[in-house]
Amino acid sequence: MNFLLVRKAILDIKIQTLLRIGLAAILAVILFVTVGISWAYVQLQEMNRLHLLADQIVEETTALGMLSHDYLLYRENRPMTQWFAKYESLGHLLSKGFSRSALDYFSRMRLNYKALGEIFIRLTSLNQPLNSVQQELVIRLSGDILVKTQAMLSDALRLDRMSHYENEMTQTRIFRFVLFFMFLLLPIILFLYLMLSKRILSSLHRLRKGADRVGEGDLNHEIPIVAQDEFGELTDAFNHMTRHLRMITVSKTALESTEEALRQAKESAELANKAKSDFLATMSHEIRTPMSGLLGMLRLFERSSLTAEQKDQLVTMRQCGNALLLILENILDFSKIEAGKLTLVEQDFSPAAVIQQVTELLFSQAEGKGLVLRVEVDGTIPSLVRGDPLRLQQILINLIHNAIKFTHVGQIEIQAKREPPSKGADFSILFAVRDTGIGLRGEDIAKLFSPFSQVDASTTRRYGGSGLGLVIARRLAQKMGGDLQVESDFGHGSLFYVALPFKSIASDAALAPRVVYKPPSMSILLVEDESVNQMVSTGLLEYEGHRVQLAKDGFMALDLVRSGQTFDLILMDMHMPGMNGIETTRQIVDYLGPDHPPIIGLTADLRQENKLLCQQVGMGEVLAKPFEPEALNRLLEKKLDYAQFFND
Amino acid sequence: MASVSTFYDLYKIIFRKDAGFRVPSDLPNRRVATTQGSSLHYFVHNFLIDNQIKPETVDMLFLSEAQMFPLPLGAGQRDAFVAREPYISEAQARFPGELDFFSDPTLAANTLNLITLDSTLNQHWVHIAKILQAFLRTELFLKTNPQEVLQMLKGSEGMESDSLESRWSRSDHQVTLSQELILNMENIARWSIRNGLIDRQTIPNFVDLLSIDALESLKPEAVSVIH
Repeated sequence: MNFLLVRKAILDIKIQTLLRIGLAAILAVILFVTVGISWAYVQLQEMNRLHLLADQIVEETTALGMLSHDYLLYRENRPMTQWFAKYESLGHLLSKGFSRSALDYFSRMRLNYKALGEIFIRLTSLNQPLNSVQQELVIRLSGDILVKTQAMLSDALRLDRMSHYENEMTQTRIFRFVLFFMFLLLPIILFLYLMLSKRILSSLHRLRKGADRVGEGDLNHEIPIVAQDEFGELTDAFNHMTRHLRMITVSKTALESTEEALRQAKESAELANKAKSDFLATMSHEIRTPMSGLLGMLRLFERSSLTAEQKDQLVTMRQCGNALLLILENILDFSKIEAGKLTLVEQDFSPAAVIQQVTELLFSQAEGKGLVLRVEVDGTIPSLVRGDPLRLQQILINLIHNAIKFTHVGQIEIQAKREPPSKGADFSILFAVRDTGIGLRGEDIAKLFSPFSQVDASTTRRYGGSGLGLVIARRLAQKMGGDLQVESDFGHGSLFYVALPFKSIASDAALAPRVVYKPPSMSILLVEDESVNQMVSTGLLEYEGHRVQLAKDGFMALDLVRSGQTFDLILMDMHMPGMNGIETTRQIVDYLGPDHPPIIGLTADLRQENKLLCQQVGMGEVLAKPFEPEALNRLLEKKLDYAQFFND
Repeated sequence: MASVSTFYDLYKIIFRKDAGFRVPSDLPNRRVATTQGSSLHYFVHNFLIDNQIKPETVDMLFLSEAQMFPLPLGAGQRDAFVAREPYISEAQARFPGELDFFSDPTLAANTLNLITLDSTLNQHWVHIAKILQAFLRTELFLKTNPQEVLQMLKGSEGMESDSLESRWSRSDHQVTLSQELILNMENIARWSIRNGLIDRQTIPNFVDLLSIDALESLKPEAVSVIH
């Protein structure tokens, strides 16, 4: 075999060549074994035949010897006739075919057979009486018969032994022959294994070792190509893959550096953003607190005996304060939206009631500008829906407030209409606010929803505001699953509308027509550490006819409760030194148990987590500071209804 | 130890063509030379008996084998002599066309036997076995390569190629220990006693003289002696 050619051949040919060689060798061995065994079988048959023949010759020769003896004693016809019959029978046996190995035996036996016949004929030819020479001749011929008979017997016995011996030898040869070829198969199989091992397994081993090294991270390792076959191609492809992986790793390292830089930048930005949000929240809280006091004091001052001109001046001051408060709240909301911290609540409420509250809130503002505020609510809108009423209220306040701001004459029309259901909701309500104001140019509409921007600088100068109202309204609408749209005709007015999805609720109890609630005179425990707020809140509550017991901190509030005094309501400031409102509320609830009076939290920080915390310790509601008396009344109305229901 | 070869038609009674012999019955009253007590003597005795001639009617001249030659035959000293190969061929070559002979192939067989002393057998049993093994291998070689053997013999000194093949064809080379060997030896012993050629009156037990074990251990089928 030309190994060089095999080495250069492709793997397929290598395997085929090896398999053919192996198959041919195995077939040759099988052929040799088959032929050998067949030959041995023929030999065995021949030996068996010889064995049988030798037995028969021994038998016939023995009989011939006995008959010779019989005849020589009495020289009668009967043994003579039998002798010739047996002689003929023996001649028939000797004339049968015989193998080469028995040639000598048969040759000698035939010679002796012939001599035996001649001697016996000579004996029978001697007539009685015999002279002395004839007598000696008979003796000699008798001896010769004995010798020839014995010679034939010897040859027949030797033939018998030889056939037996040959038989054993043949069996031994068969065994050795088979054993030899079986052993011959071993080197063939070994050869095939070694060749396969050298050509295939070693290549596989090399590949596996290379793959292990690459797998362990050694990307600089290249597997040597030792043959131009499939393994060579596979090795080349593997090396190519390793080189590619090396390049990818280099790129990945660079990418990871960039990613790390970006991540750090993002973290910095997030930290900065959080700092901004925290700063805004803190600032708004810090500004709210004095604003709360200022507005409260203005309200109290308004209720005192003043001239009409003084009252007008006070109203203007309060409106300016409210506008400032609105700006602060907008900034606070915007910062929450930007930080992704704005969460919606889901509760049952009446959309019509929300619209009514908003219009009531802004009615005086519109009326002050001589504008007509028209409300139109579709009768098919369910009385109760599930959603976030406060955020809906905020959207509507922003839209209506905006309409009032930019409308000098004419009317503001507020519409609510049921729309077909959208994804994930049972139905939508289209809220639209149409005004007859200054309107917008097409190119200005795009700027409308950018934060801290108005159509132009002159607008800011003329109309004021932070420019956050519409941005917040749109973001809230998007958060609620809708989108705020605008259509405008410059110089004639604008239309803002938004379709918000809601879920209907099973119970659709109609809300009672809204009446202005005037709570009865109550005994209220006001827990407030800030002296201005103490004055404002006490003044407002007493103006509404309530009896107010002031506690300057949480400890004092606890002492009053434990002293056995009873209150219809507790107003609890959240931020107090020593013991804050949360802890004070928890201890009051622990002390009084489930019969504790309604507790309303007071805070400038109305973030959702604060509200949740308040509710967890037992506060039914949270009121923003500075609170409007109307807002407190609405809350009191709700809480008293609950209390009555609970007591029943 | 073993019989290794048998030669047939080995002995002949040689005479000159002009000696007046035509048939065996012409032998009485003529002088025939042979070696007393030898296989030649045994042959001529049996030949005479077979031809129903009383041996004592023939004038037997007993000579040693060395004295048989040189010829000439006749001249009143000897009319014929009993000879065996290769002397027969030598005589024929010496007197081409002048000699004739009587023979009887059935009588003239001669067996070559391998003989040793008891002491040698006992002391060198391994060597004896090796010798027998060599004879057995020779037997196999003669059987399988007859032509090659003839070529080898033709190259040997003293072998006349003309008669070699016919003589070779009248020989059998087989290593045996057979019962007929015993019988033949007993016949010869009886003849010797009967003719007063030896002193003893009983024949020996020839089986006791055979060493059967060696050959039987090497080739069991070669032994047919009843033992």
